[in-house]
Amino acid sequence: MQVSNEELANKSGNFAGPNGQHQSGNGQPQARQPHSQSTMSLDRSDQVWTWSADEHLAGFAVWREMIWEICSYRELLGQLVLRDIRIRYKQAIMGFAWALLMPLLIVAAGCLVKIALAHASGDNVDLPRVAGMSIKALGWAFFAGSIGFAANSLASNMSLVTKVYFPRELFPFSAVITQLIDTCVGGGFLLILLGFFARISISVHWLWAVPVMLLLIAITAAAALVLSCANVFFRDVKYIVQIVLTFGIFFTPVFYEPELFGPHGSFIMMLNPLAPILEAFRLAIVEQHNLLLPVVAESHDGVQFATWHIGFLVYSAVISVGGFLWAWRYFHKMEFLFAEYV
Amino acid sequence: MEVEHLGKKFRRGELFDTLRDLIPGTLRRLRRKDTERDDTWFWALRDVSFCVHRGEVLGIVGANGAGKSTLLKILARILRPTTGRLMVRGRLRALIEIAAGFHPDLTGRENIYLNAAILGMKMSEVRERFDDIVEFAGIGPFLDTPVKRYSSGMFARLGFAVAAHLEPDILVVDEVLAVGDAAFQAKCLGKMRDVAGEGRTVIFVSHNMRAIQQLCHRAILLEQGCIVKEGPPTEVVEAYLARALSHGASGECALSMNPAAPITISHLRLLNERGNVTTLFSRSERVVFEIEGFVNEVGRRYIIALDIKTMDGLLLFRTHSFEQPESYRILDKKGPFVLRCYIPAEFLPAGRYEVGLVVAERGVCEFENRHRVMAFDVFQDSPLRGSDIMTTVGLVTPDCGWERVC
Repeated sequence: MQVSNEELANKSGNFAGPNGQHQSGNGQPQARQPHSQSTMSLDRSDQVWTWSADEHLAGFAVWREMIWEICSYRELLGQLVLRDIRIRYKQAIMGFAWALLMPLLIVAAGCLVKIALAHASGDNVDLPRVAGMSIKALGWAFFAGSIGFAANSLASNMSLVTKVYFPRELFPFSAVITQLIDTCVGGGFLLILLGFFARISISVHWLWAVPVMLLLIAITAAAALVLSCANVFFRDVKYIVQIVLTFGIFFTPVFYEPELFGPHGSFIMMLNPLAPILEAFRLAIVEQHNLLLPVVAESHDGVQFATWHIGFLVYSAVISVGGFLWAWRYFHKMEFLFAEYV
Repeated sequence: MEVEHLGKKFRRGELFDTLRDLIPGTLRRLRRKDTERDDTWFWALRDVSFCVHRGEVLGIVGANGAGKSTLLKILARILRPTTGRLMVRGRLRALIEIAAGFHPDLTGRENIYLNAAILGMKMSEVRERFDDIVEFAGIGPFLDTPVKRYSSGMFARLGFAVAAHLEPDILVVDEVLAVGDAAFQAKCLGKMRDVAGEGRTVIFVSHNMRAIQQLCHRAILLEQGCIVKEGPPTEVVEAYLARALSHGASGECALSMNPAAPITISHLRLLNERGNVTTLFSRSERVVFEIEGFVNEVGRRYIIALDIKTMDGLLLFRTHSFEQPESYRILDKKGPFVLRCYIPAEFLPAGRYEVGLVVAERGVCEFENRHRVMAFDVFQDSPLRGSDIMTTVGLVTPDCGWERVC
């Protein structure tokens, strides 16, 4: 869509031909009104908008439009989140305790794994380790929960998609935000308990949690966008997602630390973009380690290797942010096919 | 609003629905190596162009499958056109379904906020109009019960109430009035009339010819994706009905009867006031029946009767040639004859009727009784006197000469 104040007045016949090539008049801002593209208000009575077969915007203008759309539909986003939360907690026997369940289960499972490993390797299980694992479990619970709901969010709301117009990104976004609220509520409680028992003190390194949290949200949103889009076209994506999530937790260092696998193994582990994010959480919050400094450990043969390096986080950041931008752009392109693929 | 050369094509046939199907499908396509056949594409709209000015009410009519919903979805930005473009000045809101997004577990109050947000109202506007909405829907005491407990009538009223309080510059409405009972439909029409009266632009798609004629300033007839007629609503409605109801039926029917019988009927014809043979009649004109036949035997008291029945076969009335005291004279000569009879105007409500023919001798026997010789349709083409409810009830609508005597 593109807005220009000249269109109806001009009627100069610049419209997109059947093959999608467009005449030059459309894409350029009109000389008389240099601000016509910055106030893309679809809701002002005097503004004109066009709807045609191709997008004649390119580059930054598309991004501006996408961001502007989300901003103007923020109230609807809020309503959708409210709706999802209310649905989850109305008529649910356990109510908010449900939000606690997933992290609790993962932590309990992790404790089992840790005890088993400890018996095998002679290490001991102590509370800081459990706390570290819980933090990672929370992060994973957020990711898995979001993806799980988001994958089906578009397909299950198809009746809305075919009847009303609003940017479809709102569905996966609302799934992510709902899960975020869920995880905060359930996890916050868990964390306070653990923090108390494991006697973890507040430190300035906790500030690292903020950018890392943003990265986690970015990568989750990226996956949510891609998967919900794919699920519209291929209905078995949601089942594949469930299976991958069930076993994915073992391929991500939630129950264990990457150093368990030695120098090469731990490096390969860290290639999973979630791994550096989760490890960063643990290091910053539980171990109060400045993330800029590497952590070095010794392997069985006495080789020293870095189990943590800021480079890992940079790698994750690139994938998260880049992935999010790409996923959003791709989703926006595919949006208009959704209503046809019911 | 301006629409230029809009076209929309859809792919026919089975789309790949799962990843599992994608791989063998792709392999199959590679093996076949032919170019796409023409019939995989289906053009729902072809080269549609029209203009709507501010404050105009435009009606869109057409048979099912003519492309009306596709056109509306393109106007509502739900679908992207394949060709052409659309230009709009002002806020456009589309009502393609009532109660869009209503979730059964949420209460009426929560659903109002949700539905309003979905339709594009801002929170501040919703809060302002909240009480009006509740009052319009008439669900006051039930505001805080989950919507799954509402009756279907309350559900529809609430959905429409929220939609009715949208205040866009351009409103696009798609047959939402097709659901609900008569009272609800009357309410919807009333609201539409108000909206049109306020000077907003409205685009209205409907099968309800009466509503189109009452509300619209202009109308468009769509058939198989193309605009076939554009102009004042009366003309367009007539064109639509002529296409829809013709089915190749003419107003003339040749009957085959035993030629040696005492009296035979060869043709039955339906004419309108202007003398044209047709099966389509306006309520404001008389329906003329013309019966052509031959009398072989003189001296018998023949009666020819026409039975007018509803579509369900219910006999409304029988009119016969023996009604006047001296009417036996009209069939007392040997030879060919042509009779005419007239059903008064403003007598039959709009609808479809069947004609039966009876030929008999009075008090003696019945020679022929054909139950369904022809069918004809009556439509309403002038603004109704009084409200719709009053004039569509009942099987016949005779003029009873109401007057005040004191």
